[in-house]
Amino acid sequence: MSDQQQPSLFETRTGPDPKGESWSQVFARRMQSLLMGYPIHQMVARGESGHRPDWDKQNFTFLALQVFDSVFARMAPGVGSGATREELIHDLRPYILGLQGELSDETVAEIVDFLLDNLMNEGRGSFERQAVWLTEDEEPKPYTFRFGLLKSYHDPDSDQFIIRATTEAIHLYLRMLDQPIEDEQISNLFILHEQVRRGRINRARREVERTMLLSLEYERYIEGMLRAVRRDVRTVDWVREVTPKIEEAHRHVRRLIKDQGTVLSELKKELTRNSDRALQQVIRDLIEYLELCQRRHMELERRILAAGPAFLEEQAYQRFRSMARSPMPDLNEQVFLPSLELSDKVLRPHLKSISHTMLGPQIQRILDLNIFIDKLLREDGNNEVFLDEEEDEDRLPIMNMFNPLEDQLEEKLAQIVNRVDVAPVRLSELLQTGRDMNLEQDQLSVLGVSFLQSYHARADLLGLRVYKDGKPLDDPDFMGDDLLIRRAYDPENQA
Amino acid sequence: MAEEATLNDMAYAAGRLIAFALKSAKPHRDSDYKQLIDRYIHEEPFAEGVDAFLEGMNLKILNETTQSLQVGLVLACTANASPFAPNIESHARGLSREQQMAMGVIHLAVMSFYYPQVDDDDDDEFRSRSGTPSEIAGEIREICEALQTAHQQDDSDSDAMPNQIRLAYEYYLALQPAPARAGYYGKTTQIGLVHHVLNELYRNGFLGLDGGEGVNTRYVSLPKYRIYVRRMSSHQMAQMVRKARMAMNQQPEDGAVIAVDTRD
Repeated sequence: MSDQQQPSLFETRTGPDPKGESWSQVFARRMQSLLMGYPIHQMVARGESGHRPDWDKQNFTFLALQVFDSVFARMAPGVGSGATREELIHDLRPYILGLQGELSDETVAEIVDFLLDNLMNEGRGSFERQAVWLTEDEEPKPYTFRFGLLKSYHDPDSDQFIIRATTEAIHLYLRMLDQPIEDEQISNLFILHEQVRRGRINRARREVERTMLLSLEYERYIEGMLRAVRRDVRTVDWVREVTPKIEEAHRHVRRLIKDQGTVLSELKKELTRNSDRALQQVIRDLIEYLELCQRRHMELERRILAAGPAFLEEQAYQRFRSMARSPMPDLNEQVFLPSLELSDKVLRPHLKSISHTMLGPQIQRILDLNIFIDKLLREDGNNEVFLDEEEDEDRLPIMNMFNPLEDQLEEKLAQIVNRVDVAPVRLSELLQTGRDMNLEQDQLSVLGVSFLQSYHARADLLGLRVYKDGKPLDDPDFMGDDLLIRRAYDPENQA
Repeated sequence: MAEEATLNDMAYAAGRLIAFALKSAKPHRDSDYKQLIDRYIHEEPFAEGVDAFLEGMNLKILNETTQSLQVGLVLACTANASPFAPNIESHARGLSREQQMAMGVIHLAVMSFYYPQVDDDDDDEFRSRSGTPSEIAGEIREICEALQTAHQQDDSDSDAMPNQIRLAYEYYLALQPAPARAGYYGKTTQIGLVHHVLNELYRNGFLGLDGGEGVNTRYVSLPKYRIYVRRMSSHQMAQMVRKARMAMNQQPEDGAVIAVDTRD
């Protein structure tokens, strides 16, 4: 477990661990330890600079530690756990008033806000810190970084802002950057176990609080690792680097859950063995604390188990994006320069096909004068172009020139038309029928024209067809008598 | 199977025919086109298929007679939603609103220039006159003045005359008749606008060239234009312009009639 490297807080290191630590790595870790409290120092310097004379007696280092105490006590696994601003004001109020009893409630709230603003190190008045790291070649290299010790989240359930400690704050609070968390957790549990077994319940209480903080930190550590992997899947060797780490973490969490179970059962035994009420209360608190830790670890185990598929998927996704980009050729090197050497004859068809592919079909607008003139002369603000359908109806059928036909004539026309069947009939026979019906000369003309209209399929209204059978036309005055007329071919009837 | 093949063959032929029509191809130059038109005239299922296909694109064929079909299909849009419908962008890009309205009146006046009588557009044998931009611009000036006179004299008619027409002729009359420099065809003079309209008609196959160069190019009307003019003849504004033109011709003693071309 000790070969597992402590994650760097200020840079993402995903490369394989070198055997033993180089000086630059040791230096970096120590520098981190020194700098971790920087937001607190900065806050204390600001708070005690005397810019608010009414706060002069407050000790901001002390208040910062109280803030962390309150926040840690309220942090549990899952979203929504943490301290709200009101809770912090409630917790800190006695300490602030203890030093300056005359302060009003508003001033207390102001002090708490001041503390939170500075420890979060966000927004207006945020500060950065320049530090010097050593590179692998032990060359000094400056870095600028900014971090906060607290962070606020919006909790959608309660619609409140919840304040939680960041990973940096947990590290700082435990002062244990030089020691792997896993070892610390195991040894801590061991101590706890021994103390419970020996009946030192009051001492065990301190160890349980420590267990709590350690489990918080371990959760953050695993989360940070997973997040770093997700952020840049491509630089990570999933099989060789991440899988062993996850396996390790999983084994560790399993062991913690098991060990905590052992301690819990010991505690429960103690609970039945002791009859002192005060002591029983303490043991109950301990059990509650430990069960919280256990729940946290179970949650963590679930997340670790889900990590494999999630990150393989992420990897596939990120790989796919990079592949989609890669087939794009280098336009200058691979396309433009070689094309300069082609002859015009060879190049021209290529260019044509490229431009046709790229541009797609182009619509050549028809200069429809009717629509266009209507558009040109449209009333302002009226973009609708009216199309007068009646106007077309007036034009197309020649029949309408004689409209309105007398009903009688129309009836007679229909009678004559109905006589025509698929077998052709001569126009003169049809006209003779009309004469037999005592039609006048004008009406006969209309009859003739109505039939002749069927010469063109598009203008036909009667469902007839007119054609010539090649014989010469006898009547020089009326050119239609010898035309043949038959019922039009109707595919539906044929079928 | 066989039915499907027939259908596909017909769809292919219909597509080719419509493509020819959209390209404004000439049947007398392209025997394929001519064959397809013959098929359209004589084969009713094919004609129905083509019509339905066109209807789907909000197009229709304007040719009414077999004879007029011989010059090639004349397509028109049945709705503004057609992808082929003309718009200001495609044919009057960069013109101001006044210029657009003047352009509309010029279009109507050009129609009445080539087909002065109501019946002219019905007569297949009618041979149109030809005109240069300056002749036509001069005549349009007369028409606009006649419109103005009609507007001023007759109060009852003034209600009937749309506001756009009034604005259009006022704009046209306010324009400088001819450009200051020879050969300059901007759209800010009467001749410039008329030239723009004629050129647009020429490029879309409505007008043909009849000799002359530059300013003196003569334009004659083509059958396609006649088909369109016939469609437009019942248009209210077209009738208005035609009436103004006839009123103008009835009083030639006013003088200043430049472009009453009696060539035809």
